[in-house]
Amino acid sequence: MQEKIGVLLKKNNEIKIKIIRKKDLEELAKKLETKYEEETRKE
Amino acid sequence: MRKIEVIALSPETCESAKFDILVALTELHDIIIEGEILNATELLSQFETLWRLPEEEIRKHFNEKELKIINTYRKWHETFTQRGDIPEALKLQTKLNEMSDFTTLVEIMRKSIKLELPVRCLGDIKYAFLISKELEKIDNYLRKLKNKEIKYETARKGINKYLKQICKKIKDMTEILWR
Repeated sequence: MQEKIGVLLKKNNEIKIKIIRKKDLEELAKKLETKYEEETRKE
Repeated sequence: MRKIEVIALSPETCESAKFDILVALTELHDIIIEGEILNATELLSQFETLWRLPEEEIRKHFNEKELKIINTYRKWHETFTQRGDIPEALKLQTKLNEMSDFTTLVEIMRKSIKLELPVRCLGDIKYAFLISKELEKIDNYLRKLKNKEIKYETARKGINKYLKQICKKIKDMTEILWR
């Protein structure tokens, strides 16, 4: 079974909880890393 | 029922994320990092028991400058949480930030760790798996600094760059997951 994680999100005093697969969260982090690397290269 | 681990992501967690990382890393590497990235109340609030110790006990371990900071924090904490006097708390917060410098704050933190006072954040970076790459980079800078392979200024700039990136990542992730 895929490991799931609860993410408590807080923005402008509003709170949401999302249950997401840990793997998906890790992939999102990796995608952002690639995006930042590209941005740094362009600069 | 299966337990689900909960992590918190919000722009407000950025500062505490940076703090968690700094505490864990300074503890690990025994290196003091200077920085302009924290405010005093945020750092001192990590030590839940420090300001509850009797003054004579605190006097044994902390010097005059550190004592002044701890006592001002104690006043701020009472004003803010017990009396709920926000205007007065803000005044005290400004005073505390003016009288504190990062090196002294880190010294208070290190002494508190030596006194084995409970520290809220140590070993509790629940989102570490999301920022492992940045942590690895910061760790590399600290290792090189310790081995005198790079200058202090190079390490400081590099570490701050990745701490900023951690903040950006937390903010971006919050934004994406919010939709």
